[in-house]
Amino acid sequence: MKSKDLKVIELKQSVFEDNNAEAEKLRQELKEEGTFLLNLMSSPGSGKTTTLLALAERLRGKVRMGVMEADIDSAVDAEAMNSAGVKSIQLHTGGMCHLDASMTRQGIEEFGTKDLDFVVLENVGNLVCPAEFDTGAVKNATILSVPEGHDKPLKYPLMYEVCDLLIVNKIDVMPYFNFDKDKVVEYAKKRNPDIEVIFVSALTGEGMDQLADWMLAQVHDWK
Amino acid sequence: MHEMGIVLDVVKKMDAFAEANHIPQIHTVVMSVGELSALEPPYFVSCWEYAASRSDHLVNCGVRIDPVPGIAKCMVCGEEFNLEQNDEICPKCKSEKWRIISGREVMIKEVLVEE
Repeated sequence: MKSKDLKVIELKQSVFEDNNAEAEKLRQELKEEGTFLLNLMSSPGSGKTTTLLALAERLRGKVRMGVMEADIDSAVDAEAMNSAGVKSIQLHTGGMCHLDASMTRQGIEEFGTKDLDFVVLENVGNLVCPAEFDTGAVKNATILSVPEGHDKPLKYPLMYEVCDLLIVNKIDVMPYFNFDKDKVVEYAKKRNPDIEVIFVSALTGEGMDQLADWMLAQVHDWK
Repeated sequence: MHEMGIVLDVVKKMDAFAEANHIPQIHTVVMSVGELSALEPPYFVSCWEYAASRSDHLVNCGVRIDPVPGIAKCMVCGEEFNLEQNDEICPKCKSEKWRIISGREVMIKEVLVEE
């Protein structure tokens, strides 16, 4: 069997090509309908839902906001959003570790985003896989909570490379952890000199106005 | 574990490729996988056997993975260097500011078919 000669057919086809094309198409459609989509990524337990609730409170009456929750665990997050008056749906990833552009599109179509200015895609709680796949979002953001440590950008470089914004959450507990504010900025910028960093405590509200302003500026720029 | 999704996608694409080009069975698919991609070759290979055996034109098809080294370009002095071998520090000017220029790709490089 092995003795037969083998012919080589060169292909050089990127595996991510289809997803990248799909993501680009989705972004174009979002541009046309004027909906700003933010892909929010982080480890589990960094405070994504609490941060979004605090953000929604500050954006109420200014922009029409919606949240698509893709955490594998449950519908708890979407329920919390809905009861706070934020339009929200739960996406079922079927155990997948990330969202890709076609899953995002399905979510968007199901959700109906035409009457929304600002949609947050809450990606699966994971710092590796979501960074590899373009979802079609306009901007990427990641939350790093203080207990995770200031050296996280060194451990998950790709996540920080693909993000436009780093939100450092739970700064109210900074005195109890050996967390260096300057170091986290230095490490994140080492991987991505263009990344912006905002320090917040979703619990106490510190820094949340600055975060809300950042989001508002993005939504307006996208219109 | 995103290997399975990628494997299923590659097998589907290669099955369609074989169909379109009248290739009864593909012998081997060669992948280029960057050392900096989040794809783990051993997982990829285990998923491969499962997916290939359920296809039409890749039933006994093997997969070979050619690694692509992670190369960065220093943003200070312009030196291009292997990230892993240099502990992620530019060997020329010792800067830690660099951009990855290769090693993240996951590509179907070529297929081998019996003549």
